[in-house]
Amino acid sequence: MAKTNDKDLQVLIVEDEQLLNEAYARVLAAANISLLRAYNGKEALDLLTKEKPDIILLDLRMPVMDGIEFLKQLKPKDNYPETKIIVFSNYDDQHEIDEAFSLGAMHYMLKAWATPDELIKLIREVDNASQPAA
Amino acid sequence: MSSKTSRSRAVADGQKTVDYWRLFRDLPDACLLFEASDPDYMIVEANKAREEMMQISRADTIGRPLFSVPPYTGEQFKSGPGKDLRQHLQQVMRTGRSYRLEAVRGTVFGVGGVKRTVYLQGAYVPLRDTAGKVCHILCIIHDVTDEMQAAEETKAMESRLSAALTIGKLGSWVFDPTDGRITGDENFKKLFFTPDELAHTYTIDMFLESVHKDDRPRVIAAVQRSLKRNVLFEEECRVYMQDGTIRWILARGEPEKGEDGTFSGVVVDLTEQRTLQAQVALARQQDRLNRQAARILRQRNEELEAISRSKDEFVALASHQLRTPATAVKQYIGMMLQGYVGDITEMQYDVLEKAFEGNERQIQIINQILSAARVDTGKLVVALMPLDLRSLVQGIAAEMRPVFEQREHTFTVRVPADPVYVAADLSYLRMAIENVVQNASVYTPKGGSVRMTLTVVRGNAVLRVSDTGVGIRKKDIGKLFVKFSRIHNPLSVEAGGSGIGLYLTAEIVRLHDGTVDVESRIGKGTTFAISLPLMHNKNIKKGDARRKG
Repeated sequence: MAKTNDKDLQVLIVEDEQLLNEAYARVLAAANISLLRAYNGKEALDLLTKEKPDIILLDLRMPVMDGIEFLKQLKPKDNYPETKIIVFSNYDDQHEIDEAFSLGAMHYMLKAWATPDELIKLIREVDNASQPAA
Repeated sequence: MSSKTSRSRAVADGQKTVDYWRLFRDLPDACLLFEASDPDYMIVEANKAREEMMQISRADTIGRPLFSVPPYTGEQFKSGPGKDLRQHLQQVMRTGRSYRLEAVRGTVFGVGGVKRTVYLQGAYVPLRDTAGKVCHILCIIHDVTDEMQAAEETKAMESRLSAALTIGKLGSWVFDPTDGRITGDENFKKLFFTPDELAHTYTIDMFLESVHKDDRPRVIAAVQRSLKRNVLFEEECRVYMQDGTIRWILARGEPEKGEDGTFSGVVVDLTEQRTLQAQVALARQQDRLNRQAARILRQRNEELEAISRSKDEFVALASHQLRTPATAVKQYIGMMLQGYVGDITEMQYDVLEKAFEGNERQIQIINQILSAARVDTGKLVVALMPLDLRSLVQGIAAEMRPVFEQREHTFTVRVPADPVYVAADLSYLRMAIENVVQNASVYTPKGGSVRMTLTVVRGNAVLRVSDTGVGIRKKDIGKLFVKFSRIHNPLSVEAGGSGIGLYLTAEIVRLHDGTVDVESRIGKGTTFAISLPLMHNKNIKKGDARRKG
């Protein structure tokens, strides 16, 4: 179980389900990762005008503005080249992952699969990895 | 030199030029020559016509036993008209007389290699050696299809004609009111008399006696009416024939007396028409009833389907609602297990681990139900990409190994040395295979074994998952892939499945253009075989991947 002192790493969680949003927040907090939380794409966009997280954990299916729409509006490749984006999905929205990748997402994670250790491990990997070619 | 001598010399010379082998070879009918004294009737020669008829070369025919080549391999020679051929051949050998086997149905190859059903007549002719003993039998097969068809058509036409004649036959009669006698012509006699009675006196009373009692009052009234008022007599009625059968007749009588004071008329046998009409009416009524029944059945089915659909929708909705809390629970228990909220005792760890497992199972079942719901509504889309099945199989095996160890199962995996490429959606295919492997584990008691074997068979990748488990009854195999069906077996209580895993497997494999087969024996074990077509062009870029749903 990894627990390192990484307070400079900041992660933005974009997840509409409160239960999950809170659970992931707890996991990240327990791993000493500073975090920001948004419940849909629009809130996330608003947050991003003020903050600059290193990593975004992005749920695909959300009300008001979903993950794909968020990516289209954010244009991370142009505007946020240093921010790394991990998309969350369930089995249902697998085929949207391709679209997310083409819009600038770097990695994906099946919600149902990841344990806290795996989530943290993925975040660390992504953090250490260099950005993919645009 | 006399002309007789020169002619016989010419004939002798001519005979010398005959190439008898060529003659045999080029005969227009298919011929076989086989040994008469050999119990197998070994074939020594076959001519060109036979090669073409059966599409089997001479080289493949000679040296073989007669009954191992077509048409002798067919049903016609086992239980049909040709079944006694062997006995007949023995007789040919003994008596030296030919045997002809009439019209056996067979399949031959015609022009352009097209198969035709034909009627073949076979003549089996004995050939003697110099000692006079029958040493070979020559079989000449003659295609009599055209003759057979012509004969059949003639027969059909004749019966149609005779039916037409029977219905149209009019009998004429003459009625003398003074003594009540009726006389009639040949046709009339044929209708009402048996052959030995043809000479007898026939009276109106006798006629009326023969009329069916339900029709009699009507006929009597009609007769009386005609006689009294000189009106046309015309009645349809049933009469009893001499042999006890009932026939429908139509009798018609002229209203005016003839010069000799008699009435004349005709009678015709309507039985066929009547029966036909009755049958048609009956058939129409049955048809109406059938259609009504079908309509009601359709309605019931629609109702049942609607109920089934709404049940499925409810289940899918419930599962959807359950998914988020179940995933959240996973995170919280995971946090405790993985040390994110402080140390825990060993006992607490054990307990939490059990909870975690239960939660994993919940999530799995939820995902299965939701996937099944999407298969049903056609929304499940597989994105097919080139995949070396070996790595998937080995990956699943590695994941499942701890489970097998825990249940004390011997677990073996075998994959080929060369890559096995199929077009697959990795996550869905994994799901499909995992369900099968999990089943194998669950339904095999402790100490049993499970084997995964990947092979390539005729252009397909075949993955077999075999277990030494409780097995499945033959009659239950049909239920295996049906949603929510449960099959009772000694381990059912332990199994605790969702009833949906195999349904999903079958559908996912179907979307991959594959098939699933099951073989099982109660108490011995089960083998699931998933077959997927091999992919030939593996150089497909990600963007070209096919999507199917």
